[in-house]
Amino acid sequence: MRFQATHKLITYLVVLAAFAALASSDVLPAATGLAFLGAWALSWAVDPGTRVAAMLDRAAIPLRLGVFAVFGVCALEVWRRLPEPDLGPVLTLILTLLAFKLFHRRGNRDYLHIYVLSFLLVLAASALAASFLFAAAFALYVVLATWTLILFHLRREMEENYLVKHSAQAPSQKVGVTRILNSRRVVGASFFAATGALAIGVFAGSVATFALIPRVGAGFVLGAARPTENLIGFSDDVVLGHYGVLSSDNQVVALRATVPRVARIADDDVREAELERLYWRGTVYDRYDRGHWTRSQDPALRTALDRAGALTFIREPAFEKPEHGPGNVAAERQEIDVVGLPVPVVFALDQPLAIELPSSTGAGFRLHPRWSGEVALRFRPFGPGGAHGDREPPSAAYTLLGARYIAYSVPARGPSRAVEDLTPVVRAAYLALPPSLSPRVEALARRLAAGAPTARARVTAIADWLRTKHEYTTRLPRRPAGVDPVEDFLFDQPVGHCEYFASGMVVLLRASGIPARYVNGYLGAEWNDIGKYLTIRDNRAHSWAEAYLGTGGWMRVDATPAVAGRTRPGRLRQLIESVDFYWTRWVVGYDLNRQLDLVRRVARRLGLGGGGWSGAARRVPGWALVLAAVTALAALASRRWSRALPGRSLAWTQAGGRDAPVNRLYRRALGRMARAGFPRHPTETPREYAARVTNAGISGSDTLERLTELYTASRFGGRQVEGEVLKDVAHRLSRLGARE
Amino acid sequence: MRSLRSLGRRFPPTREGWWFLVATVVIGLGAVNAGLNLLFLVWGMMLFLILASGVLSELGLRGLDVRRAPPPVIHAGTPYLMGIGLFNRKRRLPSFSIEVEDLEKGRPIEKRCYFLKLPAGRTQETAYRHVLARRGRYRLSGLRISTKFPFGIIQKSRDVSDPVDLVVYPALVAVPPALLRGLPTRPGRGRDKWRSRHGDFFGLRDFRPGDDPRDIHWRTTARRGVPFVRENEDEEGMQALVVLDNAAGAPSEAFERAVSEAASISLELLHRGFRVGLAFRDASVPADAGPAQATRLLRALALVEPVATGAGASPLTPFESRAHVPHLVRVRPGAAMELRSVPWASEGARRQA
Repeated sequence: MRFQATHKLITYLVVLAAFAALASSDVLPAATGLAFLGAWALSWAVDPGTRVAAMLDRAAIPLRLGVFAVFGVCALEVWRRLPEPDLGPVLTLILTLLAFKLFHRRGNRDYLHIYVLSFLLVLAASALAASFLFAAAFALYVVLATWTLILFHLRREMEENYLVKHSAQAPSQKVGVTRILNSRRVVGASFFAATGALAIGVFAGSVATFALIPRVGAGFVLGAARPTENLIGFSDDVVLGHYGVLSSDNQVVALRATVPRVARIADDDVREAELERLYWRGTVYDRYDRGHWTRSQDPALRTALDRAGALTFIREPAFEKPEHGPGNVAAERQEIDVVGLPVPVVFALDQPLAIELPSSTGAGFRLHPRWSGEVALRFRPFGPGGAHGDREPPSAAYTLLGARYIAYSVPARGPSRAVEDLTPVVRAAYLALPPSLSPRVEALARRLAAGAPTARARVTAIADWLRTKHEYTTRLPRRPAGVDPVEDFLFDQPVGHCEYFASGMVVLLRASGIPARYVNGYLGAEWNDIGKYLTIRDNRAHSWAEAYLGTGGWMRVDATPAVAGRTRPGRLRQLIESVDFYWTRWVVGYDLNRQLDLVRRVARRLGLGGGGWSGAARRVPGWALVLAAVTALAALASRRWSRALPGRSLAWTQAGGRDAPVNRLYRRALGRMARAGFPRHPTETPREYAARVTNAGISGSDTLERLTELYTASRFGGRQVEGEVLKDVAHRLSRLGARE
Repeated sequence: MRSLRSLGRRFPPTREGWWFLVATVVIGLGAVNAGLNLLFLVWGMMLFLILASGVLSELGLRGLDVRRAPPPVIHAGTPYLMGIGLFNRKRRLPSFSIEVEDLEKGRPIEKRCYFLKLPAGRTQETAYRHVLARRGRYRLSGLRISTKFPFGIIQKSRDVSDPVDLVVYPALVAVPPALLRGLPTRPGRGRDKWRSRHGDFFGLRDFRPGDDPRDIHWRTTARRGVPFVRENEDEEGMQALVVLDNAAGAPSEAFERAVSEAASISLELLHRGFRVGLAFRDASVPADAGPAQATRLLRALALVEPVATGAGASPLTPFESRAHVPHLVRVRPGAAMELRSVPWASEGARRQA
């Protein structure tokens, strides 16, 4: 293939690979992506010298003004989102510039700009990519980038240096540019094969770097910007009527979790039934007013986090004592991978007792108390005092991917957490009703609770009434203006989804004198039989109520009627999702613990691991791993350099420059003899040395003599040594070295 | 910044290479600090691209032999072509994008030869065009073979010792035509002969009024019955001495101008068939003709330096006062060249002109 055409083709492919890497992050709007692909394809025909290129050159000023306009719009978009900037406009700008440059491939500088912009796309993708497809795109990018950088270098060099014709009588002049650029002999199949192998080596090296560089924090990526409507249900201000409708068809994966108890269930039907009873508690709200659920942020409701070793116990100090936790109850363990959390909140099976972060030092994730038992998951992406500091991520813009934590919850069938009586302040907070509610709400609550002797009975009565008298639907009716939507749901239009059932439940409980709060989270999960884990998608978002039952603690009350079961994903989808699961866990969420785990696994494979290894590996500090890596690299480099020393390399290689097997065998024999206390002197010839060994009466000296003959014949006579002969000598070499 | 050196290799980053290195460091810090895992992949790619760059450039530089082919004559201020030959001793691997530079005192001159692709076992030759501003002796200490292959981020090079001395002759200037008026203008005519008793026998011709009767060739005159005269080559009349006053004290530019004038007039006279000699205060070149004499004269002029006029320095007077020199060209720094011809030589020259 002609050099110029090859360079152009590889350049276009590298741009495509970079774009694919970015596209794997789901950040790009489809329209932007399609527009770029269209520009990418159209620009192929716009080579320098063509009519279209000339036309574009004439329109250079308006085009540049257009690019500046795009820049202005993007800058404005970013500025409007401050202090939580959105990367979307920046990526749009990069793609615009890239398309512009693809249409203006006039010189080397333009090509260089194309490569830099493509690299920026990959860089952005590495921060945002959520899918394992990034790995494929990245591998392709590495190979193509290696090729394209080489071709670009050659092109630039030949244009700047090679094509200068010198004359003693006239100034030097450029000649033959086109001829050389159209040559088929500069690069060929062997060139691409060799450099392709090199590129694969580069990719392997990047994977090794990824695996071996010690982590000082938890691994994650920022993830794609989420559609705003998906965030409503978990935001600080939940507006009734939005969330359930918009997220019902949303297949976005929020969490993945491994729950040993569920994994142990052998029967599929039993497991499916059990899965539908899993409540993943997330955000909690205590204040209701005119269809809005918010947090009062009353200090009395503040969650307390008690740290004990790696565990952080969750406690509501207003009515819980510090001793509660996994130590006192048989906690249910869950290992949770954050795939796309809509909000920076810890989700765990109801009720969470404690959280364990795999890596809690340096940059990474931290737990932060909120209210009513809710815990925030904060992160420090750029270290202490960095750009984001120690604060919650821009929840409205980006999700966190790759965060992993272990949660311990109250067992599903175990005893609930015993609590003390609520203080008056806390009780008042959980009994507060907005004054806008009409008296008929309280009247209804009294009527429903009438005849129920205990609080638990009252809860059951209200929940039953809601389930039987109200209908579940996601096709919400229009609520009349000026009427509280919950009141409308309770009395006038008894249809709604889980938010209405949960809100009605909380309102009625409070009206009947039972402290209650509103909880958002997920209900159920999807079992992946290949990866043996659970997938929790956005369409499983759910709302329920929590009722305070005195010393019996908080009781979860789900008044929403059961809806039809969801279809189970097919085998292929399970396979794809399990790959994504391992990608998230082992690549996106790769951290120091994973590294140590990997080392332990490798050690076990190599037979190095005993019982003590695991403990020892846990104690290995990060700096020791760095030191080991540096030492290994230095040893490698030293070995390479020592081989490169003139004289030494020649001594041990054939004329062809390759290390012959007989030479290696002879060296092995010398090493063996040296260890046996019989080294060869520098001034001794091989034959003199063999004779000395024979005279010394060392066992196996006849083998050494034979090997010496083979060695000298190969090295100085250029003769090939047959493999069988060498194998026989190698076998007998094991007896060399013992004195007789 | 000083180049890193190891085992005879230099590998300073190029400008793009510096950007690449800075980006690598920044991305590495970002990856470690932020914990963005996929950034480690990008970082690893960059690190290993640098490593691959080192390996490939090393493979490219190995097994290369280089040789130099200097031009026979180099004048100061005049472009010349230096031939460079490169041989790839490797059995299979070609070398890409190789640059060869001459080294002067261990530092590269600014000209280089570029070899895009040198297949295994092949030799390629090219040349670079260069101008040396001043006459004198230049010592090229060796050659630097370098490459920015494969990515252009690092320029790896190794130096090959190959010392050679170049003698750069003085720049040539135009000789004023008025100065040489009356002298033969071309080599063929430069050997025109006129009556003389000193040179070798040239031929016979009819006696003309004014001829010296002593030149009559009596034997031929007797045989033919009309007077004939013999002609000899006028060796004395075709000899010139260029005297350059290299006394110290003249401005450097004026001195260099004088050297250039001396070289130019010397070559011009040689070109016209004169036997040309050269004299300084501290040295001299005997008169002779031909290309070899041109080399001797130019070499002497290339290396001439001002000398102090005090004790130990020879005066120019003995050269200037030589009566037997038919033509004497006096070149003094800051002054116009002078041509002094002895009367009989002038007369002969005038007749031949």
